[in-house]
Amino acid sequence: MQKIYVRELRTILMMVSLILLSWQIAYATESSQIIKKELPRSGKATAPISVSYSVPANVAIGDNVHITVTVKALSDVDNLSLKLIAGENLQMPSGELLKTYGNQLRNSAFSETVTVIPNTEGILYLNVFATGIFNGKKMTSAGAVPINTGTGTRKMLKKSGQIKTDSRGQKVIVMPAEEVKNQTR
Amino acid sequence: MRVKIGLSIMVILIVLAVIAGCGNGGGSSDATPPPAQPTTVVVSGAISFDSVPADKVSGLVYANTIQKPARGIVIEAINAADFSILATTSTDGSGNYSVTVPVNTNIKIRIKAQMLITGTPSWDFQVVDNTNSQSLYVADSTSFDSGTSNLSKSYNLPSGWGGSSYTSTRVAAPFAILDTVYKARSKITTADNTVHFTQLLINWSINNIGTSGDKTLGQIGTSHYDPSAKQLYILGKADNDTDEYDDHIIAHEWGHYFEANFSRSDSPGGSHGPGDKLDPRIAFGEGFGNAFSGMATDDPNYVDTGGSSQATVNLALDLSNSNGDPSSVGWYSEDSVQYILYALYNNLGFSPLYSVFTNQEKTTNSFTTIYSFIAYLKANNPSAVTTINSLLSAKNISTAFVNIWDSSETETNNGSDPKALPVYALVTAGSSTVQVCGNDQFGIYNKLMNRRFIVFQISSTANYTLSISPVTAGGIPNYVLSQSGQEVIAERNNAVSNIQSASGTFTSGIYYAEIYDHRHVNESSATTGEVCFDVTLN
Repeated sequence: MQKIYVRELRTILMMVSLILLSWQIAYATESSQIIKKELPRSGKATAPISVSYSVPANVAIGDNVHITVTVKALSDVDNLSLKLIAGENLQMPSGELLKTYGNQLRNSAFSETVTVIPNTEGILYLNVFATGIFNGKKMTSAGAVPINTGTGTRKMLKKSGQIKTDSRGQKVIVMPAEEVKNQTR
Repeated sequence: MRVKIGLSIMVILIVLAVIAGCGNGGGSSDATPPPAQPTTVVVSGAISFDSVPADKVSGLVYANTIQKPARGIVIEAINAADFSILATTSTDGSGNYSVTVPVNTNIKIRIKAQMLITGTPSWDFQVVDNTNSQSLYVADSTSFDSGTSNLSKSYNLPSGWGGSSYTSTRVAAPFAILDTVYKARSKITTADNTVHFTQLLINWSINNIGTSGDKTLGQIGTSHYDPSAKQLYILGKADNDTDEYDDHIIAHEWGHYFEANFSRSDSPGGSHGPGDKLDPRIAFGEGFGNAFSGMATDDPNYVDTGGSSQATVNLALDLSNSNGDPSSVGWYSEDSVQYILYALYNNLGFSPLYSVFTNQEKTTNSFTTIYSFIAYLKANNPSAVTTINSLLSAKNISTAFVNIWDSSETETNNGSDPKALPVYALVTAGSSTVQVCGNDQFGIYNKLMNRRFIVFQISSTANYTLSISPVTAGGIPNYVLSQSGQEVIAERNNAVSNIQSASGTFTSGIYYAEIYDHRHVNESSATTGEVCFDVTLN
C-alpha cells in the first residue's frame, strides 16, 4: 500500500511540474513578444515623416526596457531630427534623446534605441517628436510609444473629476467651477 | 404721588396711540397688507472660461490667458440635497445666464459641456470623456443657500495651468472646444437657419495621446473625425500633443462632421500634409477642412501646438497663402484647395459655398474633387466666374473644364507624371481599350497615382462587362464602380494577378470608377512602381 502511495505521489508531482513548466514557457513567450507599430498619420495634417517603433509587449516595474524608434522621411527634408522624452513615471537614465540627421532625401530612415525604466504599473509613454523643414516650412510629427507595465493598465488613467450619475441617468464627470467674486452686473 | 399719576397717564396715552395705529391698519379701508413672502428667487450671472492663445511661433502662451464668455452652454440649477434639477437654461451670446429657483434652498449651479437647442434650428453637441465611459464633462459650483433675494453668481472655468505645468483640473478645456464649435455652428446657421444638426459627441480626455490602440484608454492616434462612429476625437495629453486650444484643429475636424452629415466626401482618408501630391478626393476633403477652419474662426492663421509645455508649433499654415511645396500645386494638393476655398469665402461669402456643398456636391455623379465643386459653383454663380478662374489659375488648375469629370481633358497640370492625365479616362462601350496606369512614386494608399479614375456612359439599358486586365506583369487589379455617390459593384480585396470583370445589366446613365493595384494602397507592401491596366466595356 505504501509503495503504491509513493508511486502515485511521484506521478502527481511530475504532472504538476509539467504544468508549471508549460505556464512558465507561455509567460516567458508573451512577455518577450515585441510590438512593432507605426505611429498614426491619419487625421489632422502632419509632417511627411513616418515613425515606427518596437517595444516589448509587457514589462514589469524596474525592468530595463529597450525601445527602438525608426524615423523615415517621406519627402526630401532639411534638418531632420528626432527627440525622445520619457513621460510620467518613466525613467530614462541617459536623459532625453535628441538626434539630428541634417538634410536627407525622401525614404531616408534612421533608428535609435533607448532604455527606459517604468516606475509604476499601467500604460506609460515615451514621447516621440520628429521634426524637419520641408520646402522652407518646419513641421513636427508628435506621437508616443506605449509601454504596458504590469497588469493595471486602467489604473494609470487619470480622471478630470468625480464620475457621477445625474438625475436623468446620464453619466457626468464633475469638475469644480470657480466663483468670480465682486463682479459688477 | 403726582409723579405716579403722570406716568400712568403717559402709559395710557402710549397704549391708546398703539391701539389707534393698529386699528388704522386692521379694520380700516386705508390699511396696507404686509408683503407676501417670495417663493422663488432669480440666480443670474456670467460664465467664462480660461482661453489660452495659440501662437504660430511660441505655441500655447499661458501668460496671455484671458477669460472668454462660455456661449450657448447648458446651465442647470441643482438641488444640493437630492441633486434634482430645479431649472435649466443656456448662456446667451455673452455668457450670461438666469434661472429661477425656490427660496431658501441649498443649490448648486452646474455648467455642462453641452450646447443644446431644440426646435428649428437644432443641435446637441457634447464634450465627453472617452476614457471614462463617455461621461459628460460638467463644472459644479459649491452649494449655496438661495435665500429670499435675487442672487448674482458668476463663475470662471480655469485652465489648470500652474505656471510651468498643469497642476489642477483642466476645467476650461471642454469649454474651449465648445467655443470653437459655437463659431463653426454659427457659420452654418448664418447661411441656413433651418438646419438640424445630428447629435455630436466630441471625445476629449487628458489621457488622449498620439498613439493608436484602444480609444477607451486614450489611444486615439491623433485628432480626427471618426466617420463610422460619427464622433470627434481630440488630443489632450499634456507635454505630448493637446488640441483643445488649437481652434483651427477643432474647426477642421468639425468641418468633416459637417461634410459627412450635410454634404458628401469620397476621400479615402489616410495621412496627408500641405506638401503632398494626393488623390484629388482627399486633396479636396482636407483642403476643405483647413479652409473651413479659417472660415469658422475668420482667421487665416492655422496653428497646431504640442510638445513639452505645449510650447512647440507642430504646424503653422497661412490659409491665405501658399504653404506647401511649390512643385505640388494643383488639383491634387490640399494646400491649393484650401487656398482657393478660403479665398472664395472672402470673395463670395459662405452662403454660395454652403449651397454647393449641401445640394449638388452631395449628389454629384462623380468623385468629390475640386472639379465637381467648381463646376457647380460656376453654374450657380456666373457673375463670379472671372474671380473663380483667377484663383484656379493661381494654383495651376485648368479654368476651361466644363463639367465635373473634365471630360474635355482640359487639365494640363500632370503633377510631373504625364500618366496622371486625364483625371478621368473616358471609356466607351464597344470601343477600343483604354489603358490606365498607377504608381506609388508619391507614397501609397491615398497619393496621386495610387488610384486612377475612369468614366463611361451607357446610352440604353443593356448587359455589359467591364474588364480590367493587367498589362504590367504581376498587376493586381481592384476597382470600385459608383454612380451618384452610391457604390454599384466593387472588388477591394483582390490580392492576385488576374483579370477583374464586372458583368450585369447597366441602366442608362453615367458611371465612374477608381481602379488600382492592390500593392499601391497596401501600407505593408514594398515599393512597386508603375502598374498599368487595360480597361474595356463590352
